[in-house]
Amino acid sequence: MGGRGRGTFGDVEAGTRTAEIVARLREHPVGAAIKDRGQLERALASPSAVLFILRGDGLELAPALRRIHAAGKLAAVHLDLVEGIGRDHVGVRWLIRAGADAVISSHGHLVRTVRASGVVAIQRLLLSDGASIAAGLAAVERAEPDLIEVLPGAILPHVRDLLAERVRVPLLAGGFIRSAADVDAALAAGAFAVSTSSPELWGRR
Amino acid sequence: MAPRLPEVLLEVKAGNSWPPRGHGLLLHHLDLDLLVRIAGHTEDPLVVDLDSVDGLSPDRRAAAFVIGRLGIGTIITRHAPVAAAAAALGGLALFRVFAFDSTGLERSFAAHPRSPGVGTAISPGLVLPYLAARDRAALSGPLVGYGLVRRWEEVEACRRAGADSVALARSGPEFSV
Repeated sequence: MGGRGRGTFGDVEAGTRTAEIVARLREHPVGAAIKDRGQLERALASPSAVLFILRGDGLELAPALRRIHAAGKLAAVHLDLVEGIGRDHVGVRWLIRAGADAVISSHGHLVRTVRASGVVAIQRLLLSDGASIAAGLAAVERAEPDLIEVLPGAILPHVRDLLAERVRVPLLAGGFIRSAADVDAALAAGAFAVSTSSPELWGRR
Repeated sequence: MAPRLPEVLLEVKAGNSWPPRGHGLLLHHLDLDLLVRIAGHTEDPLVVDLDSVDGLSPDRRAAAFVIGRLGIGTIITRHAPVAAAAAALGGLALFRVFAFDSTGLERSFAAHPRSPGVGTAISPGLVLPYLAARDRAALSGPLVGYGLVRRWEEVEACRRAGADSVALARSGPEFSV
């Protein structure tokens, strides 16, 4: 078990694609959440090792993903948020052919499809109330993602106890991570990395 | 006139013990029969999460039943037409906005009816202190923090962040009244 938190969640098998992305994020634990071309340019020039593509034309991502790889970085693409891509196995296949190293979704059936396709599957766990956490954890257990991203990540320190018993894979925190203190609090609460659209945090280690 | 909201609402769902008297209650994830029984047995201010009641369809008829027949003055719903209908009936409607990240908040709030008598229930309520000031200022009031608030210091933090009322879950390790 690695990371600098008081007991991070889960672990990964060495030598896998998941292990590679986890290792890159542990080295640079603030991933860059990208919503537009300007942010992409800043992220390419930043120390962030993993870029999270949250918006854009999903059908035309290949050139951007090639640039990300050429910069020595990895890319996770959010299947539910990019435009133009079907939320189905064909859409997943398209993103993988375009060069996505990881695919993110809130939907368990898509997460299973991603995992079966051989790239890293990240399942979003949306924390709105107790019922949503129970339902989300059950969905995670069925889908068996490689990684989980909890949102809003800023509240992870408050709800860690609700997740500790049932989360068995490494945890990312995203959403309303606005300050260095938010980053440190999420890592201390057990996240192995965070994602944020605040460029001033992308170099934090 | 739309009802006033207490500063703290104790969350009540199926399986909870009966809450202490004298507090506002937020009823959610229970069935219609239990909702009717509670409405008939308390004078405390009630708020209902209409979308989570088994046996109710989250629509205008349900809003009319809850407000008109049960006398419950405030409903929470994520359905904008239902919120507007409840407000037209003289109730206070709280349009439920989900704030998982800034993009999600923007999208969720875009559907807000922004009409008189319709406030905002932001979920999770716990996120309120983490919102940027401009995001908080944009939310239509009255503003209720709803979801995952389990400790009194979290209630206070949400109040300081601008919540008119905060729903307190009843099963936290530090919960006491």
